[in-house]
Amino acid sequence: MAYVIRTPENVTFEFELASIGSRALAWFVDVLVMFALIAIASQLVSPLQAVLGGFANAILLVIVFLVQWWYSALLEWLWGGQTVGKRLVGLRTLSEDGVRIGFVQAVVRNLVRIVDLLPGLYLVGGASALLDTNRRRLGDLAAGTIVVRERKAPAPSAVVPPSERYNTFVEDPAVALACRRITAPEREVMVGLSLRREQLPLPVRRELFAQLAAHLEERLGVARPSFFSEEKYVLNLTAVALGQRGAEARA
Amino acid sequence: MKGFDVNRFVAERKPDWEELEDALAKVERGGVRGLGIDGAKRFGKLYRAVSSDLIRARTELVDASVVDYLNDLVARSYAQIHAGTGARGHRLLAFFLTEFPRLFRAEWRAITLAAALLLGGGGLGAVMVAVDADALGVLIPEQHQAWTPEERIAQEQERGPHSADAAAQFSNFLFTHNIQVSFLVFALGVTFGIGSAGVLFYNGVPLGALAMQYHQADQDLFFWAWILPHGIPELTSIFIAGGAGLILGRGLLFPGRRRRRDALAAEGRRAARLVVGTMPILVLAGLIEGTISQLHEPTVPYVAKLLFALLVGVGLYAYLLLAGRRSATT
Repeated sequence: MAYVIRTPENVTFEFELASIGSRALAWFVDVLVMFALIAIASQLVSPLQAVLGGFANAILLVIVFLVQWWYSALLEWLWGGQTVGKRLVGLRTLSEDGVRIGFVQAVVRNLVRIVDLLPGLYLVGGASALLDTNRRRLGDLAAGTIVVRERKAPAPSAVVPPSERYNTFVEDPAVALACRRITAPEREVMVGLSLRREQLPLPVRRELFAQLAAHLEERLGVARPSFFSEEKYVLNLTAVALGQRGAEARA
Repeated sequence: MKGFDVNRFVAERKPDWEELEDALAKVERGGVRGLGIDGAKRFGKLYRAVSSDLIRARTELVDASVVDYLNDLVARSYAQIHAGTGARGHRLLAFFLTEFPRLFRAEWRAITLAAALLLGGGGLGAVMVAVDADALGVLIPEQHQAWTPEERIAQEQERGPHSADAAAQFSNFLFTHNIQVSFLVFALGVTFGIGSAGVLFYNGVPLGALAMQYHQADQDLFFWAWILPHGIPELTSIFIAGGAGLILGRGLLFPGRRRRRDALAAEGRRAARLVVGTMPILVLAGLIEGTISQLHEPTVPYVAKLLFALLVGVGLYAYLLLAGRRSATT
């Protein structure tokens, strides 16, 4: 589900809202972290008991309070909307206008969590997130925040890297002729795969280029020179096809 | 297909995208300050250029991977450019030093009403015990009933200051109880404020009843020395949280020209700020409750505890009533 923001420059961009399952997973991780923190704190404080007596308990009390109520709020404030769980799962809390959340927003959404947790198993918050168009729980509604999925899209790659601009196919009239038979859907697949090639895992990349190369070899009847890798073959054909289209448009 | 060449588009624009990415990485780490004036200007320029690239990519139906990438870049830059001013630590300080006390003063009516409700409950509790001492059994949590004032005083005074396990446990219970009451009176504001008012009143009753019980036993000094040091900050934060709950109710009851939903959201943000502001006060109360409130005669004279309570009270209300006044004009 997308959450769309329109900037003052009248440009729209969108965030992908986090699914309830992924948020639950992040929360589960955070609960474990909080338990660990409290357990560590009580281990550290217990030897002090002999010296400080009741005061040690007061310290522990304050630590439990801090962890219980401030762990998420402080982390989200300091880490720009992320806790340990959200980092691991790849989620981020944002202000509903798309900017980093402020201190009060971070605290409010994490305080109202006790209402969201009612009457157990996150029922109120879950129902609210299911019903709300932007998957907000009550805390998000009160603080004016949304939770989005972080995705870092790597930069797309140009089809022909400048270093490999020399392309024997461009000068070959037979290849040029064959490339005219490339259909629009085929071209789209070729361009799409070329743009994304740096973002794919290596085996997937090799497999997809191999399939596309095999298809093109058969359809166009242009033999793949043995010194061309399948990827290089597809890239070069794509460059020829794109060059033709560019020339047609200019003509 | 009007001759839009994706390949050229990506090849030509990519240097700008990568430059923006580098600038973003810097800004996300150290703020716009790290860029310098020229760098910041360049950052703005790049942001606008990449924004129009995004529009272009979308209208030309360029491959989704390019659109996603540009979308991501624009979103990240937008977040930085519109993120407001000032260092975050400074804003946090400003919230507690000026914004919260000002909000407290602006909403004094709601907070006073909350206080009146709780103290009204206390008054009722006191009157009920005064009329019929047996009412105590109904009004006070069982834990306290077990002890008459004399027994409790003996018990508390007998204990050395450093063997206060049970006391600490008890204050632990009270502390979490009070936080829960604070949040509850706030959150129950969504019941048009009725729930908040009810919980405030209900929580005042045992307090008044206890006070009357100790008064009848002629142990006022012990009682107030026991309650007041932490009670002043604690009750204050419950008043504030209660006031916040009533503000929520106000938004629902009197939305004015706004839609009820919008009124709730707006008042909710205001109210929530008040509750956030009570957090340090609650911590203070918890610290006092775990320590000074557990010390009794003969270790510490009751008068000293009362003086301490007075000091805390004066300090707290000086903060709430005076902080942030001077800078109001700037």
